[in-house]
Amino acid sequence: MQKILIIDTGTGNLKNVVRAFGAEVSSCEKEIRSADKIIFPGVGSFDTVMQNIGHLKAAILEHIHRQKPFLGICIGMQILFEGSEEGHEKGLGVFKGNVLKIRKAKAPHMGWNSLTITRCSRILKNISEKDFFYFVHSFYAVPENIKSLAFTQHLSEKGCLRMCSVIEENNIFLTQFHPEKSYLSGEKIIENFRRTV
Amino acid sequence: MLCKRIVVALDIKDGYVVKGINFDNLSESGDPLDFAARYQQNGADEIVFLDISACLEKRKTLLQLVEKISEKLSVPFTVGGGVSCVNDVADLFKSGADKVFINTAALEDPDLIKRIAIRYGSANLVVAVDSRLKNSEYRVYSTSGKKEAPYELVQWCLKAQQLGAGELLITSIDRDGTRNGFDLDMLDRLADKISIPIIVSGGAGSMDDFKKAFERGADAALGAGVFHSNTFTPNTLKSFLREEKINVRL
Repeated sequence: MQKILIIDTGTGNLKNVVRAFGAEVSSCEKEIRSADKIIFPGVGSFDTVMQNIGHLKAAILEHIHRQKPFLGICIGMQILFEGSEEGHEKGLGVFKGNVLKIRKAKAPHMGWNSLTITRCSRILKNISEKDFFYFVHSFYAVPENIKSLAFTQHLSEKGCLRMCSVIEENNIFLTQFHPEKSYLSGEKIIENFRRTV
Repeated sequence: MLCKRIVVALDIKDGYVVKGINFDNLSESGDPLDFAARYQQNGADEIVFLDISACLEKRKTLLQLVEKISEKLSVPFTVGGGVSCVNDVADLFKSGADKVFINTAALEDPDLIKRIAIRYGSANLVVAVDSRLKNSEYRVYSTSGKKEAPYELVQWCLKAQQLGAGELLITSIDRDGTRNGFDLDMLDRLADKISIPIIVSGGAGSMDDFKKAFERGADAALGAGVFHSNTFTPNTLKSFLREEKINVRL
């Protein structure tokens, strides 16, 4: 049976992710090195999260380099880039690009929004532009050397922002929204991640 | 494009869902677990859980209830009522709340907003504001609408936003439970001054009330009694709103 682990970011409630994925939480380097799949959950601020996982960086990077499935949710997506306007800590730098503050439209970007999907993928299998996902964030990643799998448009009285909301590169899957809070549409993402090999 | 949200509120007293009028005259109407599961299924975009009995000895019962409800929900779940310090917030998040709201404690100690925001991030912190018209000015009230606070509505909302609130839940005490429609004038005073999302609450009675609130700038609109009495379900309401060209999740 595959071993899925949720990384303990030490920033509070992981209960919903645990329940949704039926996986265990860990902050033990050895356990993370032996996991088949890792989920990096979406709670906390950039610096706090980076500081709390300092001792796990090498294990997480090794997991990614060995091309074992990795799912990053919200802040778990953002920490894979080089840095963030939210803090001073360096990100993991797996992808080129930075995380910027939402300025052109209302922040936080909070509520249900849809995706503009650019190509076929594993993580968005059975998902269409009619599915809605729950977002809650004030910062967003701007990738430089990879193509976004899906975009989300945030239109408010203040202006319009089109941001990258899903990435799939090799076995790295990143969502800016929270699948565990996105009801039936979110369950499809969870199932798709389960099926990755 | 971001959808307008339909929020369903469950007012909880001693473990049961209750509903009052003008913050008083409570009547009991059922098991919160059943309510939460049913509303998730029939289209609620978010569920708000307000503990109106919130006193110390009942706190543990509340946390257990929050835990049980969060196990049933995969839509966002906001909890508040009686939150008085950062530790209360910590307990609620640990029990499975996605967002927490504070009201009276923030009025008594506005810096509490900042302290919670620093630890948990603004996005998960809602400041609830109860207001009513007094001498043609919207005044803010604490302690379930019983005590007048030293703030005018816009002044307090701007302060809460600046201190780190991620969202505002604005309730009209005059309209609460009356089903006479949301207080749109109240909303007008806030809509162009506040930059964080606003949930409007108090007075929902018809589908048209929700439409008007969204047209006047609300990001989310909250109903309780109107849904509990089965006047219409969140999904019926959202079908109506979509036909009226309002962007909703269906």
